[in-house]
Amino acid sequence: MTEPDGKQSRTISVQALARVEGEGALTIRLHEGKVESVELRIFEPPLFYERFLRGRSASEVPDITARICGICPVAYQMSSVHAVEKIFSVTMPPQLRALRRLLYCGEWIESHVLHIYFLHAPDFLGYESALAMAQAGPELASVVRRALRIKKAGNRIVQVVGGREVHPINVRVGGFFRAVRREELTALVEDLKWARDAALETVRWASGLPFPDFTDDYDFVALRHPTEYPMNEGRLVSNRGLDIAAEEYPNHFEEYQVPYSNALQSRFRDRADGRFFVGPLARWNLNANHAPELVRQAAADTGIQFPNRNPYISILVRALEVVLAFDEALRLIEQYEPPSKPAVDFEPRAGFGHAITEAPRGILYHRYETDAAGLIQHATIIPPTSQNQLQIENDLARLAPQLVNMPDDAAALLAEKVIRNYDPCISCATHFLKLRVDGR
Amino acid sequence: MNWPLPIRIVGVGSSSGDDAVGWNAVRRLQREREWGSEFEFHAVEGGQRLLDLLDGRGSLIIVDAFSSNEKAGGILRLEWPSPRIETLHLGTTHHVRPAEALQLAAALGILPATVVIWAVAGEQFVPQSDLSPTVAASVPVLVQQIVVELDEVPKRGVVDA
Repeated sequence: MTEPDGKQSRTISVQALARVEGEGALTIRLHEGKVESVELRIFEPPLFYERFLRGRSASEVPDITARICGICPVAYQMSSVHAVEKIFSVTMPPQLRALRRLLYCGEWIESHVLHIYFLHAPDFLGYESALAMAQAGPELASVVRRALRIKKAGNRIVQVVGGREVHPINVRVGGFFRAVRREELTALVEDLKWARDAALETVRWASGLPFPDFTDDYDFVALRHPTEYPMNEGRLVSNRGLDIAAEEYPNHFEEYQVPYSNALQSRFRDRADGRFFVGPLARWNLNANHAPELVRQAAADTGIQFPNRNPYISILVRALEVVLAFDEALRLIEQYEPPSKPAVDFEPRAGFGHAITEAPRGILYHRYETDAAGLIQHATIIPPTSQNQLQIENDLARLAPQLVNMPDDAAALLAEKVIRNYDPCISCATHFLKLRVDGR
Repeated sequence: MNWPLPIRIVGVGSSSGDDAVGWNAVRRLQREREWGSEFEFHAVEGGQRLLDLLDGRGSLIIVDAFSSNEKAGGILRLEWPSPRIETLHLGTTHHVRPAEALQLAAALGILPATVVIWAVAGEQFVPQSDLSPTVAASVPVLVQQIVVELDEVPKRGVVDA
């Protein structure tokens, strides 16, 4: 390790971080204490999938795309199936639409609870990992035990509606392969009620975490639905007036290759520096008025001001969205009327379809082109982590002046904490993030 | 050695090259015979999903890949607790390693009384690739070793949790 020494050349190399999904490498170049560049290098499997999907039947798309990520397979299923259904002019009956929303609730719960307690909370509490938290004493062990039980309640939703907990298999173009019976859902209710209360406790717990102030002038981008908190539908909006349909996404956002990363980065054409912020904080800032009263009250009780532009608040917003997902799941189950058949009929046709849904980490854009037989001719998948990548790099650039005067380990940890605000999901081979700070 | 019920047999891994050996072996094991309801078979992607399966009851058998300088296809059998488990580079592609999950389960009091880990040395962990031929060849051997162990369960006396 090289100690910092002001204007002298400096290189810091760190291998660390078991609390980011996937493989990434970070290089920060400093010159005389100032940032020259920040490069977040990641590896994204969706590139392979886009190619792999070509020539496959559109009916296979939900099952194939569910394999992209073990943490958010439902998101891939939802964006893909909605895009394909637009091509085939499928109109989803209310019961099937409700089931899809319920399935998404399960995934939000699983993903958010994993991130809140196991990946992110140790940052705020000063522990190396969730294991260290659990070993610190009975009180924190009890917190982690509660987290596991909350997460399992989300797992059960995905298992029952999606057919299994991991890479669900029940979603198909036109609806589902099998409509869930009412009694299968009502069997979940007691556990979900407990979990909703436990999630409210999580909000109170998270609101007491020490949030560093890292406020910035962000462009928040999220779906917005006329009447409900967005998951599967809505227009894409921002806090600066963006208001577009999914079909217009390519007109406002572009992907480009950076030489240091396997992943494409996304750029917001409407903003000079191209960066934008997707995810729970963006969703909440733009849609809090559509959250159920219970959740809005929980947010108000935290004393935190919303809308909020501090990315560290994201952990609290995830906790709020867990309450929302349980509350929504209970409402959907209470109102559930089994459909007369699990899927609507459709005829394959040639065309283009775009869809955006709200993955736990932010908007997930899919676009497909099919031929007359319904075979995929072209696929574009833009995950939230690609969209946040430029924003993360900008946050790290803002952070870099602090890193210059810090020892290697502390610099790496601080950079990783900033990255974890975005809960990046780099579903690939390994989970190490290698931080390198070069100075000259 | 006691085998409290149920006995959960969990393949840990992914579809990335030799990291798939856990899934592959458990699928093959499940097809070996008609297992009673006291045996559960699972395929999970990492330590976090492994944690989801644990409630302090029964016994746990984990099948996973590890990376090392040892010859690919080599098979290790370890019993928890063992310092070797923590140093073994199990679950090379999982963001929460199985060893961490077991430690966390122990700290939370949800680790089963009996935990056995079967680990296979892998050599390629490249996304979208298949099992390497060497590791693929070790799968039938591994499965038979587990079958032999499970065959002896009644003889050793199954103890309900």
